[in-house]
Amino acid sequence: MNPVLEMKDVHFKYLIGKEKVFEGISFKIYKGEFVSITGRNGSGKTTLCNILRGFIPHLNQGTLSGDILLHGESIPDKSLGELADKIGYIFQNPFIQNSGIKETVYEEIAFGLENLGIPREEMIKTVDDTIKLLKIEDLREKHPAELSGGQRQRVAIASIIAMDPPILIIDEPTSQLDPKGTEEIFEIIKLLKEQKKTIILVEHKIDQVAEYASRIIMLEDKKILFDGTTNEILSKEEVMTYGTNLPQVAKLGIKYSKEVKKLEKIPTVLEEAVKIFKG
Amino acid sequence: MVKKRFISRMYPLTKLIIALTLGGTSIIVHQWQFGYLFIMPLMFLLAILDGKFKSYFKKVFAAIVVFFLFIFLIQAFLVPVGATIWQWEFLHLTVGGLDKALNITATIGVFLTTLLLVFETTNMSDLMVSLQKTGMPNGAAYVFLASIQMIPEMNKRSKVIMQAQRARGIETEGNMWVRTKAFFPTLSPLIISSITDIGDKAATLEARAFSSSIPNTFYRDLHASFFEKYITVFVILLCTLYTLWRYVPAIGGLL
Amino acid sequence: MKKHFTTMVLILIPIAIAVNVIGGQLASILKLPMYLDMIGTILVAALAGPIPAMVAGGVTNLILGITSPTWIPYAIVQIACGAVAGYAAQKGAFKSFKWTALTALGVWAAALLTAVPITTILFGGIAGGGGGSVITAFFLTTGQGLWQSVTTSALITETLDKFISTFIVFFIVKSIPVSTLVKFPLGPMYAEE
Repeated sequence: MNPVLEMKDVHFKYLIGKEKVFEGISFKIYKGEFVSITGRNGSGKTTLCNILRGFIPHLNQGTLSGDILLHGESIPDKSLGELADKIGYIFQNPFIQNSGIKETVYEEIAFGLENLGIPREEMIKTVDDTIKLLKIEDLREKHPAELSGGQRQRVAIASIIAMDPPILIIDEPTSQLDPKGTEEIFEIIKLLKEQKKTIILVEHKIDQVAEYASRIIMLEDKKILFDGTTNEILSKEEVMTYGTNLPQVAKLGIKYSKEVKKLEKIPTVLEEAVKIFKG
Repeated sequence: MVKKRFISRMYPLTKLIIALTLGGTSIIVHQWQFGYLFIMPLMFLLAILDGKFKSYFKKVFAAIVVFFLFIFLIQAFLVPVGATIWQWEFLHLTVGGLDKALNITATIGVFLTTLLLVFETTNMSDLMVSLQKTGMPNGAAYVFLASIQMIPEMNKRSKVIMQAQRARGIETEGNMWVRTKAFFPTLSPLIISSITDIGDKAATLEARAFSSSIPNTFYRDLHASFFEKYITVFVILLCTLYTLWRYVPAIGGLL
Repeated sequence: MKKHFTTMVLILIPIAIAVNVIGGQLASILKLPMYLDMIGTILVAALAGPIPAMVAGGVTNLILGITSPTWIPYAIVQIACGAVAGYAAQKGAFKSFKWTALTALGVWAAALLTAVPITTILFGGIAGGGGGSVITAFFLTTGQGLWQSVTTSALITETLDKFISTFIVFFIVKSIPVSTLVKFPLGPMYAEE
């Protein structure tokens, strides 16, 4: 099987700034994978996402080398417009994430489809379906500038998934939201996972990562430190020394394994833990 | 929702073209009667028929009154042309002056009343869609619509900042120098934070295929009807005939 | 055209337009004897050059024209000032205090050369945007001609205004983070030092 996304020996340095952000990053992501990118603050998680979407070098210049490929074709060589319906991107800050030109949430969601030249009947059907899928019927006629942070974030996600990109990059979508807002966003992410989208998620809330991601790529000191299945990575105690927390159950499992009885597999989500400790 | 009357329902571009044609005609014909006796009363009548009279009248009134008074004061009284009709202190009302004041105000009046009626009865997003359909680039529509949303938003933020500055002891009243000094700390944080956000905002728009080269489609479903297409031609034709009548002696013109 | 209007510039323009409008409003709230309604236009000039600045200036007055159409002809003043400031910016004027002062002079001249004829010819001596008309009327009563009165009045209202506006932009450019500056067409120029 061919990878959907691939990076081969990528080096990058911003135009401003003395040090490189990456020195030789390589990985392959396959269709339907749910990859979580972790690492301490400033390790380049957002930069990595920006490179995958082409925002670097198109909007943000720097010295970029190596291959960045979408289905084997170079991403930096594609225009941003070309990539829009192939790789969706959801940002951290809900307050800058609207077009700023639409009068209703409905039209806001339709904006991307207008730009893609989708015929009007199809556009209406897609927007209606998206609103229903994300359960935001109550926001439909509201002005996009008059929504709360959580509502804005859901509308932003709706606006992207209406364009139906097979790949989604989601960069800390809940860092500025309250617990209720966070929960609502993860319900949507669960839906996207069920739709078999290829998802790349940057998220600090490790319990959610443990629950949803199938694979973790961990950045440290300009390189990839760990790349493996979620369970494999989150059962390593040393992960914590690199600024990434572990789920409570994993910490318990590690301690239990060390002090009571060696476990064959460290649990990373609650259900696993229940299964393991039941025997 | 209130049912839209005919002017409000009319195709935005049709209204705009007609308004500009009438304004242009009033410049060319240079006859105050056209504005005062025909266009201005007609616009008020249309505003009444469209059920928009109250808000329309307020806007026209606010735009016109002081302005016209000043023009009359200066042109009719302070810049003497020809025979004096009436005199008081340093004010001389002259025939030429009065004529000039009437002509200038009539032309301005035509532009004001027609354009204000267009804007009063037109949704800006609709106007932009109608312009985009005739080939205006998306970027231009973005600039226009984003500005319209940005102004009240920034206004709100500037008020918040000004309150905060006052709370911190920056004076906003007093002599001119004190007030000038209050201007900078209110406006500059607003500008700098807005500019710093542009990078992310650009990425947001790009994520929505903003610079895609595919021709746009529109959710707003606007079409010029048969009537709307031909009324524009009809108005242009009438205005041309009026101009010809005004300037070609063979058909009754004055020159 | 694509070269002038990158997505960054297209987003900058509405912000500049709002800055023009809010600046003008603030000036009148604070009862300053200035318009201060061109800071955004000059800012676009400094970051993106003459053509985007002309667009920002022109559209500012079109938008003001939605509520008071008499602003529309003065779009020409904004366009002229944007052109002058933008051309100067391309040559690096906003990098030094001295050249900023000269740019202010150019902007001031452009404003006078366009605003005075519009006020005199189109509006019979009354500034369409308000202000200055009382001063014009005053000079007329002292026996000066119309052109002379409008010019004197404009000299009083425009001079300080254009110098302050241009220098505000000079200081703002210095306060914008370099990482943001470099994303604008003329930005790399300010990042060199």
